[in-house]
Order: sequence, then structure tokens, then C-alpha cells
Amino acid sequence: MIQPAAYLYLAAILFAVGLVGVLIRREAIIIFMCIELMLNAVNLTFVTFSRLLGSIDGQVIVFFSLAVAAAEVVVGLGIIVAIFRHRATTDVDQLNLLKL
Amino acid sequence: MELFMFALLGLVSIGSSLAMIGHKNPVYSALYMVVTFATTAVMFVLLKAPFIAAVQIIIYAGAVVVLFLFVVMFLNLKAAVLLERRRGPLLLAFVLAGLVAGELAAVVATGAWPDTDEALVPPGFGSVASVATVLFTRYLVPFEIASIILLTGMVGALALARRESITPETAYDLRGPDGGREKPEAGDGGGPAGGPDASVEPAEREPVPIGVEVHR
Amino acid sequence: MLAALGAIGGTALKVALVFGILLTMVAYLVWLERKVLGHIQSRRGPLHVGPHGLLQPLADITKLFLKEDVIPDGADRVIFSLAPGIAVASAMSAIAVIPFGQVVSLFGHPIRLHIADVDIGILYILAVGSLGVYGLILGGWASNNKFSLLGGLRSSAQMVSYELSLGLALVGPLMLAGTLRMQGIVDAQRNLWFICLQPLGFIIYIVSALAETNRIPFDLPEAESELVAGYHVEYSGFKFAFFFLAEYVAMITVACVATTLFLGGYHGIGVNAAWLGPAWFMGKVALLLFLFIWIRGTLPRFRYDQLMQLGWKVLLPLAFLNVALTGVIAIWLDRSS
Repeated sequence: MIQPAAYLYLAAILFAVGLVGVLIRREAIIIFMCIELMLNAVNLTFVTFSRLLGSIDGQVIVFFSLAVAAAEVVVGLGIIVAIFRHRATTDVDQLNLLKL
Repeated sequence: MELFMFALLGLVSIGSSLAMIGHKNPVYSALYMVVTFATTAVMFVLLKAPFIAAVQIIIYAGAVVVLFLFVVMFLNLKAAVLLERRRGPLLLAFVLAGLVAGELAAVVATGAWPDTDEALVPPGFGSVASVATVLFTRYLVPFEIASIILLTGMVGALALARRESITPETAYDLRGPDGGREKPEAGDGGGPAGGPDASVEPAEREPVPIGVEVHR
Repeated sequence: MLAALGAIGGTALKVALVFGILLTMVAYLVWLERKVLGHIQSRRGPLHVGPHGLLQPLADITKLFLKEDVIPDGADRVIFSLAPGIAVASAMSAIAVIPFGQVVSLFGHPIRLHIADVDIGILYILAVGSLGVYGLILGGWASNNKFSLLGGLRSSAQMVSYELSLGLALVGPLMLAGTLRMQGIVDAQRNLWFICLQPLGFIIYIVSALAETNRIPFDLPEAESELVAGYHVEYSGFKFAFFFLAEYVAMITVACVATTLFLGGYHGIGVNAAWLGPAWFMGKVALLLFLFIWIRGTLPRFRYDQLMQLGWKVLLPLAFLNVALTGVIAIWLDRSS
């Protein structure tokens, strides 16, 4: 097997790319997609460690992470749709109802 | 062989994730996200996690991104790039991400990773049986809680997406944003923020909190 | 190194062979469908191109390839061309794990009659099957046509809804076989086919499979008289041929999966004398395909809300019931034996 560090570096890069996406994009949906990318990078890290340590727990954690991510996407997209119905925009800079 | 596969997958996944955050069309972003997830799934197979790889494809590439595409198409999101234009925040974002990546890389670099040999993982590692055995014995309670979370997610999405059934009194006026002005407000109009305020431009109407049914 | 190359070469040969056989099967499935539908409707179907119209598929393919490739104005060119490819790729990938027969020996080498026997067999099929939704969504969206978009969204919502009952209907045989490997599932049916133990599961699977592949009676999103043929209204020529191909390959795939999980795969009388396994397998698949075509010629179309109601309110609870019953009975039999 190749050095496990390679997978971890890759996961770090993917996480950073997702972070950049969250910070520089302003549509709510794209931000959400980048959050999923970050979750994906974390899953990759978990599976790498699971392989490294020979412990199946890492894969089980990824399983739960996938399930929870699915539920989160469902609710998050529902919220985005509900916001869009009232504000007709997904630009997060304009979703500032709490601002004075 | 594994090195070649990993190099290829790594390049493809980084490239597609960069394309995902950069592309102005949300549909293309979603498709690049599928590519990223697919490469991650193949990497899971390389890491002796075939079950997780299949579950990743089924859930992420097969359901989550489909949901994203549904929402993009329902809301008819145009390919407008809403990007942070000011140079300061843009630079700050890259610097921050670079810092995070650098920190993670430093942690990885200072670790003493053993050369993983095949003897460390038992045969049948990562197979369905091995994951299922642990899932239903040691992680039984989290398993049940995860199913409750999924149920909650479903109920929440249904509650968020519901509209009141359309009756003649509450039918949305199909004549457009200005058409509603001539229609006499029937019942409760305009939302709870104020009484029927037919003289207000619809665009400036008081925004109502999320989840409240608005009878225009 | 040579052994690795040999293995890759062998697999590549198998892939090419399966690919070729699959395409020929699709062509003659189209012929069979037109003939059977014709006879059900008291007419004869294609007659003139070759004896009994057997060369009709050749004529059809030639026509489709020679038609002008029209891309609508304002359509997204890349995705418009990509969508049929995704549909076909997803439909064809599932054949990779299906076992066609027992181990045969050719020139002294044992050859397994499947392309890949992964540990997660049936899960792999569900995974690539769920990717087929993209062909519909993207095809409908990229056509820059309201009817296309609506048809594509309806079609993909239907596919996603029936994937649930499809997957759950498959859990019954999995519990009885105790493994996800396709070869293992076939081996577990040595003595008794699972259709005898899982009749409800089989029915749920067939109905869900018809809905998954957008076949009548569930073809509302793509029928010519509804929503102007839905997501493939703007497609013509080669790309339409791909959508067409994808639908028939998907039909063959679900028939193969049903054969493997419910009808005993390649088992049959005298199968131990090799080379008879694939014949039995093909026979069972042909029977199921005939059933699909027969259903097409007989039943009227479901309305969309009826369709979704059936999927969510009838099939899904029944599938859950099937899983629960199978589990209870399996454990009870285990304890008492």
C-alpha cells in the first residue's frame, strides 16, 4: 500500500477547496455543495485511518456520517426552497433578515 | 499500480472539486460534485472499504446530488456567478483555506506513519459482513438513532415544503406580481406582519418569517 | 506481471464478449417486442425486412444512425450530448457482476462466467442503477424545453421512488442467501429457487423494475402521447438511439437480476455438465422479457399520481412487510433446526 499520508494530504486539499468554496461563493446551494465536499474529505480521512489502524470503526463512523449528511441535505434544501419562495433569491448576502 | 490509480484519482478529484467551486452554472457544479464523489468512492475501494464505497455512490452520487439538481431545476437558478468580487475578502478566503490546509498537512507530516502491511488488516476487512457485525452489535444504539434522524429529516422536509391546499379564497393570483393589487384581500391577507396592505409594492412587502403560509 | 496482463486481457475479452452479446440481445429484443405486441394486437409486426422481419433491427439502427442530429437552440450542448451516454453507461455497468454460468474450463484453464465477482455484488448493481437517474434529469433539463424538463423531473422522481421498493424487495433473497455476492446467491438456490420462498418479493421486484425502467404501465413520463414524449422529445438520431438502447439494456439488466435472485440464476436440470448454465440463464431471462412485453401489450398506463401512490403507499409498506416476515421466519427456522 502506498503511504497513508498521501490520502490524508489529498483529504486536506479537498477540505481546503471546499472551504474556499464556502467563503467565496454567495449562492446558498453552492455553499451547501461545498459543505458536502468538506464532509466528503472528512469521510476519506476516516476511511484512511480505518485502513491504517486495521479497525473497522472508522468505516462505521463514515456510514453514520453519510446517513446524517443525507438527512442534513434534505432539511437544508427544504430550508433553501422555503427561503427562495419568500425572497426569490438565494444570494446569502441578501438573506439578512436579522440585520437592523 | 495502486500509486498510479491514486495519482489519477487524486488529480481528477482535485480538478473536479476546483471546477465545482468555480463554475458559474449550478448544474455543472452538481455534476462535478458527482465526479468528486465517484473518485472518492473508488479511493474507498482502494482503501479496502468496498461497502462504504457502494454506500457512498448510492447515497451521495445517487440521492444527495439528485436532490441538489431537483432544487436547482425547480428554483430555476440561472447561471449567474455570485462570487465575492472584492479583492480583500477573496484573498482572505484563499489565505484562510491555505492556512487550514497547511495546518492539516503539518499534522500529517509530523506523524510517524507506519508502513501499512497487509498483515495488519484481517482478511475480509471492509466487507459487508465485517461492517455489519460491528454495526449491529457495538453500534446498535447509534444505528437506531441514525434511523430516527433520517425520519426526522423526512418529516422536516415535508413540513418545510408544504403549502396550504389551494382553495378559491387562497389561490395564488396568476396574473403576476402586480395583479394582486386589484384583488380585494380576502380573509387574512398579507401575512401576520400587518393588515392587508394592498398599496405596498409586492417587492417591498414585509418579509415574513420562514415557514409561515402566506395567503396572497 | 505476465499473469496480471493475462488476467486483464481475459477480463477485457469477457467484457467485449458480454458487450457484443448484450447489444445483439437488445436489437432482437426490439424485434421481439414489435412482433409480440403485433400478435397481441391481432397484427403481424415487422414482416418484410428479412424472413419474419428478422433484419428489421438492422434497418432501425441504420435509420437512427443516419438521422440528422439536431441540437435545439439554447440547449446546453455538453450536457445534451452527455445525458444519453450516462443513461447507457449506467444501464450497462450493472451486467458486470451477473454470473452467467458455472466455472467452465477452456483449454485446461478454469474460466468463471462473470466479469467481476465483487463482495458487494447486489449493492454494486443498486449503486450504478441509481446513477441512471442522471440521464433522465440532465436530458430533460438540457433540452431547453418545458415539456422536456417536466417529463425529466417526473421520470426521475418516479425512478427514485421505486428504487426504494426495488432495493427492499431484494433484501428478502439476500437474507435467505446470507451473502451479497451474486455467485453466492445463485449457489444458495441450488435446491430451491427463491421465488418459491419469496413470491411477494418477486412480485414487488417485477412491479418496481417495470417502474424503474419506465416501461408500461409506468411509462407516463416518456410516452409519446403524454407530455410529448417527455425527456427525450428533443433527441433524434444517434442520441435518441442511445436513450432507446439504455431503456432496453436496463430492461435486460433487471431481468438478469431477477433471474439471479429469484429464479435460480443458471441452475437447471443438467447444469453440472457445463455450458448448459448460460443456456438456462438465457432461457429464464427470455421468459422474463417476454413477461415484460406481454404486460406492455395488455395493461393501460398509470396516471402519475396513481403511480406515485402505488410506489409509496402500496409497494413500500409491502416490501417492508416482506423483509420483516422473511427475517422472522428465517430466524424461527434457524432456531428450530
